[in-house]
Amino acid sequence: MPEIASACRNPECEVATTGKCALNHELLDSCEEYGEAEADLDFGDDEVPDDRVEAAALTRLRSSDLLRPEQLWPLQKMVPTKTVALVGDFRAGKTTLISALYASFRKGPLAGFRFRSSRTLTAFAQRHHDALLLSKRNSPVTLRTSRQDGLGFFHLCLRNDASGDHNLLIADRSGETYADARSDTSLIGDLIELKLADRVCFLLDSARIADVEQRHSYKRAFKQQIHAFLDNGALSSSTVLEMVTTKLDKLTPQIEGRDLTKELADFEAATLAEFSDVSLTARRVCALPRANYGVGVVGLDKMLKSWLAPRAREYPGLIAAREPVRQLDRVFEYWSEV
Amino acid sequence: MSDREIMVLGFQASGKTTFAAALWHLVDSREISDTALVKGRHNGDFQYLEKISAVWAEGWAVDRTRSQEWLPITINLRSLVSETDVRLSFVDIAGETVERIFATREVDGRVDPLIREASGLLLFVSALRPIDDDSIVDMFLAYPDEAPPEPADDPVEAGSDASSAGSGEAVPFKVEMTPQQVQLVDLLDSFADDPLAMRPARIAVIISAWDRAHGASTPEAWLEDHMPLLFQYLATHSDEFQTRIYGVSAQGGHVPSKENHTEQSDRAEMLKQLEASRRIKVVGHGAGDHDLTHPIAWLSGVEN
Repeated sequence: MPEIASACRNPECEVATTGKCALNHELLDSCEEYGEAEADLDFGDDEVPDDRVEAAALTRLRSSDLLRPEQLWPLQKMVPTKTVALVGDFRAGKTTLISALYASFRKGPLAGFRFRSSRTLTAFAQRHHDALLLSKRNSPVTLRTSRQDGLGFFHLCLRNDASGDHNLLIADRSGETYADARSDTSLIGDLIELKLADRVCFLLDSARIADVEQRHSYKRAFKQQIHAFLDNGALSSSTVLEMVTTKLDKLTPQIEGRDLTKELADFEAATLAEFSDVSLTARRVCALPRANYGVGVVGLDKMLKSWLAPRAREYPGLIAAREPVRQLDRVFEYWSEV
Repeated sequence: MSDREIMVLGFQASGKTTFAAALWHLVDSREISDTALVKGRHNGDFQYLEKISAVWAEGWAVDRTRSQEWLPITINLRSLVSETDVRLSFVDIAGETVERIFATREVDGRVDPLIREASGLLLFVSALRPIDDDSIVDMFLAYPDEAPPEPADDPVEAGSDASSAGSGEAVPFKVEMTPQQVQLVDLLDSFADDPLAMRPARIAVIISAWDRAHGASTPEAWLEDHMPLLFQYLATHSDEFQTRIYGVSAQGGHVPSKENHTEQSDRAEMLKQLEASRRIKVVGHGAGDHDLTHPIAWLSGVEN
């Protein structure tokens, strides 16, 4: 310990390490050599360094990055929220769709909704950066969500003059995680966003429908994903299910003798029929038309309107108990007869 | 004496310091008689104001050095109509500091009380702001013939600069690259949340360099067109605070910096003006043509 090593002015004295005074003083205080000039003494780190004083004076603003699941409750306690989960394979366009909503509000109101606030503006800006001229890219892209990113939620608070404020939470996680859960259903329980969601959108990638090699396995996998969630109780009966076809710009109407538009329409119709018992609906969007700019950004307005449309309130029906023991419970029977 | 705590917020080169310099000249010179507020009792430390207003009056660009990060400014003003004294106190915080707050999410202990106690906010944006949020899609929608063929999809993460989509020169995202209007909205929204809980009753947006806002009919139309997210934010918070948008040209034209006075400018023409205060141009909400005190009077509650 350096403080003890310099405890004596005599350089040959080892009192600091052995405890023995070189001049054989039993009481160290009686040795003239022992001790240091006060100015040389190191009194330790009692004085807080300057940078620590500054650090203590800093006030921390709330984050504007993605909301993690544990951060939802404080928001949900204050305001009613609507949660949408986007499910789809790697590169299906989940983050691009979210980013396109932000990009649209950056330019003005959308579908009668005006931007009021967001807890996740930095996260939006980061995902959208590679679609800006500032990124110096030749073609726009969206920062994709990796498996390591885990589950995050984007937030938008939007105001409609007629219906008031709407707080929208959109879940985002990597497509690989959903693909894993499709082939190993024991992983479905980890997808907590499905239970939290008021609406689950299954994203159908037009580019893979157009790909002559991939289309068959992709179509099968797409439907398998919905079956996997339904069969394993991942979705509650009140959750709205929607099939959202993305990347319409990739859907060249005629290619190598194929009518892609018809192929897509047939698949959509077949899928809706297959899931008719759970009221699956379908829509098409184009969020980032980089394959064909002429297509433009399509379908976001209708999608947002539908996401934020008020839902009919569902009241649980009262069922009278059979041969109730308590008098109170018989009241229900009486009411039912009346 | 009515003390009004007015917070001044704006990024680098948004016109805050030039506004302060011109305001001091305006009220101290008494060249314009019909301003909403006039100069009040002369007491306090005006060295900084004297320095910058002299630079302004000589027709030079009012620059601030980076080291001048923290400059408290107090101007005593008086409303002759309501016979009210108003002490306008604000700290001219360097734009870099505001940008750092956004990037680090940390607010200096000296800025903290200004935000908490602000009863009014002067929010500066410049009509000369760099364009930082134009999208590639919008460009190719406008010029479809210029659009390159779609690059092959590859599994490279878009955040990297090696994607085939970017020709190897892509600029990866940094938090400071968030578009300015998004940064401003986020700061206003974050300041309003805990722990700072900023609650200004009024916000006056000053669009500086208004003489360069070509084609805009009104300051409101300019803000809606150029910073639509901020415009929506202000409009949808009308239940929490009132907003006014002013167009201000505190210089009255393009002036060079003293260090680089050879650049082309309007300086020679501006110096011909007999009263320097008449170089100032203010647009919006019934303000006099040169009346920089109008937004302050409104923020102070003297002007309704």
